[in-house]
Amino acid sequence: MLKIKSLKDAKINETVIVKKITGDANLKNRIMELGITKGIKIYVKNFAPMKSPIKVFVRGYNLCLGINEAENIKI
Amino acid sequence: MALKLALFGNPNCGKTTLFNNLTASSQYVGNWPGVTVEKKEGFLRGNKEIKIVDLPGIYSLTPYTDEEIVSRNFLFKEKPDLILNVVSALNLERSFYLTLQLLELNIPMVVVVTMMDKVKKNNKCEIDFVRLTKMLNCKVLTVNSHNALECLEKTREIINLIGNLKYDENFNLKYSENFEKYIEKITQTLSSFENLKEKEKRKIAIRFLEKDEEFLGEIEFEDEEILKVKEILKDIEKSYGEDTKSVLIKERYDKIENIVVFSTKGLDFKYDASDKIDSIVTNKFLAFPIFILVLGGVYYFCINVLGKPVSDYMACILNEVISPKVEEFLIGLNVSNWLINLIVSGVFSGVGTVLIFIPQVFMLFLFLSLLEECGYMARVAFILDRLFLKFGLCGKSVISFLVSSGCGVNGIMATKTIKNENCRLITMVSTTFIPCNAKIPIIVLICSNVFRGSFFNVVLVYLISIVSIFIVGLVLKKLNSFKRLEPSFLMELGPYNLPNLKNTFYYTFSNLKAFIVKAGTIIFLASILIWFFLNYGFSNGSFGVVSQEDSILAHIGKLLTTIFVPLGFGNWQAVVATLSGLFAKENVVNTFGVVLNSSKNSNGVISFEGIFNGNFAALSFLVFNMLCAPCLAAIATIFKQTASLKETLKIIFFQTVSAYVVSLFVFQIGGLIFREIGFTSCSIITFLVLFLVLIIIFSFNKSNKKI
Repeated sequence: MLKIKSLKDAKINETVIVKKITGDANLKNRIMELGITKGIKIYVKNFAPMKSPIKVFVRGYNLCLGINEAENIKI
Repeated sequence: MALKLALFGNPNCGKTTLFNNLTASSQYVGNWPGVTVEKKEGFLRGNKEIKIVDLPGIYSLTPYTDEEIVSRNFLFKEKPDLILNVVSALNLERSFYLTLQLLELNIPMVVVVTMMDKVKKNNKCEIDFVRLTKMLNCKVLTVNSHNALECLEKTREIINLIGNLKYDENFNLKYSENFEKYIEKITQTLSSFENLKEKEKRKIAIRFLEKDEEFLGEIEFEDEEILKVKEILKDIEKSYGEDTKSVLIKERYDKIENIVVFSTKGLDFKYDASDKIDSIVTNKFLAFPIFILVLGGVYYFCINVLGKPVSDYMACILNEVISPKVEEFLIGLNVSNWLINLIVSGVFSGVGTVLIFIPQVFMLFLFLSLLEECGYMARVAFILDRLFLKFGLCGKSVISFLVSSGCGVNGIMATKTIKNENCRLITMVSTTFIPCNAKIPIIVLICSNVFRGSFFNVVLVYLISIVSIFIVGLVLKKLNSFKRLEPSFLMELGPYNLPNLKNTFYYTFSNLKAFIVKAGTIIFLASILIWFFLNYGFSNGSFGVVSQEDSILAHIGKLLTTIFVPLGFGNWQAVVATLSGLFAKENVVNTFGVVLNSSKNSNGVISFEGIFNGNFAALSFLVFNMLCAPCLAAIATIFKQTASLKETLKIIFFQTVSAYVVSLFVFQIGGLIFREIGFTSCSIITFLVLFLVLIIIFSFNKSNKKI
């Protein structure tokens, strides 16, 4: 079975395309309102020392996402 | 005619800078999202008719956090005459999301684009303002928010426009054809609103799609209408395979992409420089050492290198020059003895002991402000988030802690930006553990008088404070005494900035002013009261001047000494000092200044002999005063934030218990190891408590596996 990858599994300097955003309605909408919508390209810039949060570049700005958010962004 | 202008925009987009320039006031501007947590009001320079309101930065109108609720409530309940939507050119796309939401509320609006200078520095970019104005059906202009004159001019221009802003009444931002069909269906269903304009109907329809229950709850619908609308909403969800809100968000962003493509050119802000700094500052191996180095450096510099010599010099002048001169002068005036005593050994010892810390406080606020301004504070939250999650805290707690090292009240206010309720409460409990500017005098006083001024001891106190934060976080997390919610971290990481000197100095001086004002009011009053209760009392059935041992204050203190015996400072002087600290932490120093005035030598060094038997008793006293219930101002802030007496009392209870337990460990275990005290029944109790704490920390691990 093919495992569905999330942003958590992305590598530094990788550009990924968002396929789906999961999670409860609040979290999902909050992520989307910050510009992470289906089909958008996300460039992974770096990880914090303990692998989370993740710093990404999306819609022209730098955004940090916690592990919980990253897990819910499927790529 | 009075007008109300409201500044709306994303966090960190320059609203407050604009506000300051428009109203000639000086609100603090920081470089991390969420500096403004409450709305601020002011009048346009030289025009009392026009009120300007600065609202907390928000990304959307959906009320997720307190700031968003503040902004939203203002919008719907106080109805501004004009919205100034401040938009940062650094991230036009994301900013326009809020713009679109605001536009759909049909309130007159002007979009103000800031930070053009920063984008221009990077590359050749262009924004076609005419086109943008047309596409949004809303006046769009740019302003350099740092240039006060330009701001004012532009605002006057805007104000003249009010009333004759030329908008196309029938213009709506159209989404995709398919989605518009559904919106039309909803507006047609709203049959009981026949008299409303199309635009207003559309507004209601969009509120339905947003699932804005709060807004809709205030409108009266017919039952039939609601049923029909709900059916349409279901249809949408079925055909898109997603909830209506998600569909709407996607539609909005698609529209924004379209607008941005057609009206701008080369508007990519390059984060190269910031990313390079980040790759070092947030590096896997370097992040923590750099953080410790920066923080340690700042404190070493503030307290030891620059602060201490100046403070010592001031203390010397106060004790050897000013105090005797005043005394001489008063004697010359033939003032009665008790008044001289009050002024010299009450006010001068009390307030003076606090005021000599001005250099330290000044330096600390200056550095804190610089760290915040340049953007390092936000990075600290980034690197520490994961680590802190393990202790029931989160990255944003760090910001609160750092702010607390200036003033606990500000630190508690900063917890507002923490979304996770559980984490916010734990942060509130522990944020005042961090020694604030009022506690620094206590540390310095004890360290320089008892520990002979070694910097190591200052570091030790800070370390104990930080370790206590972790222990208390762990215990509270495990006890699950506060409601548990999923941890969340969503934060914009803006570019590094050169500190704006105007801002830095404003921040430093306003905090310094507060410190001095406090010394002049609360501490001045407390000095007099302490002096009075320390010199007066009942003896032989009559009220009058008595020796310190018989004074009212000594009696109050003696009531409570037993509780503090296990902590090593079971004497009334230390107890009274601790109690007086509840009003303002500087009072601890102030009280010692008055109580131990007679044991001061000519250099102003206070002898603590008899107060603390051994170094660990002194350390335990220090730790207790660092951790226990904060000052009244901070407690009031906690109450304001939690809006619940029960929560507030719970927080204070946890703080005081933590203080007691940690101090117990310090005195009993530390004293035992270094042979300052013997093994007593207290030691047994201490080890039992330690055992209990360890059990709590390690036991529930299985049931609480996730994070």
